Amino acid sequence: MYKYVLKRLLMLIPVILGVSFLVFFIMSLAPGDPARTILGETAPIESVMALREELGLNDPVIVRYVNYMADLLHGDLGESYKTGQPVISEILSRFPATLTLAFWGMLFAVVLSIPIGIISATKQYSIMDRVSMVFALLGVATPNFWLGLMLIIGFSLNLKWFPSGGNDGWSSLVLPVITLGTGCMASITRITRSSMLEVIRQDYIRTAKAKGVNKKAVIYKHALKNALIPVVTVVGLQFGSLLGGAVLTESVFSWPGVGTFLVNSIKAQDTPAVLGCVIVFCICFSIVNLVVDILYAYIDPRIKSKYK
Amino acid sequence: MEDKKYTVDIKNLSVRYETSDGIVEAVNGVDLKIERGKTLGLVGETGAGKTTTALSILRLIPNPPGKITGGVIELQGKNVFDYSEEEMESIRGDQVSMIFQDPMTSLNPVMTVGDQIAEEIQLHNKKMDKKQALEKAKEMLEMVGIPGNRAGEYPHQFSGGMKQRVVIAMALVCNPDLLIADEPTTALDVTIQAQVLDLMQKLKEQYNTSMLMITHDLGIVAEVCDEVSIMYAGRVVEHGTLEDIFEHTSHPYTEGLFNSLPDIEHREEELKPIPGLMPDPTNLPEGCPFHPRCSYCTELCKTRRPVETRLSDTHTVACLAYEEGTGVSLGGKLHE
Repeated sequence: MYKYVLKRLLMLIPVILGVSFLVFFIMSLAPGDPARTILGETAPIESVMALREELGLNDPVIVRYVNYMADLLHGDLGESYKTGQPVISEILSRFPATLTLAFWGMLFAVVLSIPIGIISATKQYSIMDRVSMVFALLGVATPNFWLGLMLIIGFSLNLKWFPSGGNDGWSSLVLPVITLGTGCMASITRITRSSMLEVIRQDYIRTAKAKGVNKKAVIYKHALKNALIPVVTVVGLQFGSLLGGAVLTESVFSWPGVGTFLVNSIKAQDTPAVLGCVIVFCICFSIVNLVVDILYAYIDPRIKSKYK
Repeated sequence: MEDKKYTVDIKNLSVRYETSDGIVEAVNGVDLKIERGKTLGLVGETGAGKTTTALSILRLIPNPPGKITGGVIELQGKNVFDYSEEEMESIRGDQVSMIFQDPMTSLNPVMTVGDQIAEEIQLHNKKMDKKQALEKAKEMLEMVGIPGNRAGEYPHQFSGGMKQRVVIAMALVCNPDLLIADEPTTALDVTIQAQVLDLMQKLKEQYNTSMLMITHDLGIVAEVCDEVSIMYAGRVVEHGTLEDIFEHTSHPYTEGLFNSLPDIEHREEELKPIPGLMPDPTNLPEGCPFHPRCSYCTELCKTRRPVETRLSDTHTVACLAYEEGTGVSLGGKLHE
């Protein structure tokens, strides 16, 4: 098991190399001059040229990339062009907000969607099942930013129950959590339902019934654990992407998280900041995936024996 | 106590599956009786309604689409259809337990085998705590030839034959009155089959359990059964003791089953499989359901449904050839 974890952590290295290379080149191809952006439209050309030289922007792309990666090896993500602060501290200061939002959004989704999925599966084709499946479909199909805007119009502008943005206390969490959670909820409900439907048709469920296990225990003790594997996969993938990519929701609610920072950095052509964000997302996503894989081993002993 | 002579007494059971392709008449008026401590073999091709009959005893027909449309199943003299679902749960695994065909899939992959057996013990012995139940589970594993210290292992760590032993241990741990074995050896290697059958036979005698042995293997029937019912298209077409069926084969279908068996003594003889397939259960033929495949078929067979005819105290058959005045003849080939 430890060996497996170590192997997976080592595999992060090529992933980060690939992703950073890709992002670095795309950013270097983007039109506009970061030095100009930093100094402003009115700065004289000499100082722009001087800054370009200072930032190393005149070097070939490959040289800049190698320099960047050399710094990265020392844990240095560089300084933001825009603020002059180290990128790592910019990201770390915003990360708790993103984590909070992702955590509550995911919790909201999981707590609601797994029971709904189970009920849908055990009462297949009932009214409850049909209604929840329609809502799940709507949930998947609704774009997050649109839902966010609608919630703001309804609950902030008209009813004035919750603030429309920012992060001051619990009340400002409600709308972004619902926005984030709804999309996740929909897909978790669907996967729980279909996984459960498959499991309750298995022979060992019939065996459990033939042993005299009552209906509830058949579902919650025998079926659920078997049905959880695909659910855990989806939850993990979504949590991973929430950590890095609640970009739209964060922007709509001007949530002071990493997503908002990323959008602003892209607008400002702040290459070190964008790269830093992407690399941090990359690491988060990989770690969440690793945690999911380790969870598998606890859920399913067959998988555990393969990790040796 | 006359009525309690039988562990299970099925009268005129009918089961149908209502599917989108039509109504499948899976079981059509089946009668079965098993005396205490005896073994009844239920023989027939795939789709004859054997498993459906067995699942009906436990009331585990998946509903929908399955529906029991008629008949009575008495366990120790009491009709199971009168029980509530909770009462049924206390009967399952305790009074009646079942061994399923495929040991590979019939154990829960995420529970240890010890826990799976202990769970059943605790369900039916409320006084027992988890530790005692696990101890008993280990004893039961030892009894089926698995070291007790493997109780903490998961099903995937056992071979197919071992898994079936676990399933047998699970089925017998509460000392049931009736053990239903649904093709318990079909999925196993031939060499393991005999071991598993021996084991079942031994435990059955030890506990004086009645057994319903579902199989399509007449060799197994000869080895373990006291009586045999031959099933075809949801009906029992012939019933009798081992001797009745093997020595005085009366129904053309039973004859067909014997002819499809390879004979080790006369290897040069070609097998004579029964021509054709089981009729479509959504559209059973009129008259005798076996007539399209029967080599003795007459015009009458195509329209008149045979009724059960008694050949001796123990032997019954449903074929027009044994009914008076039908003029159907099996050419003297069968039944003496």
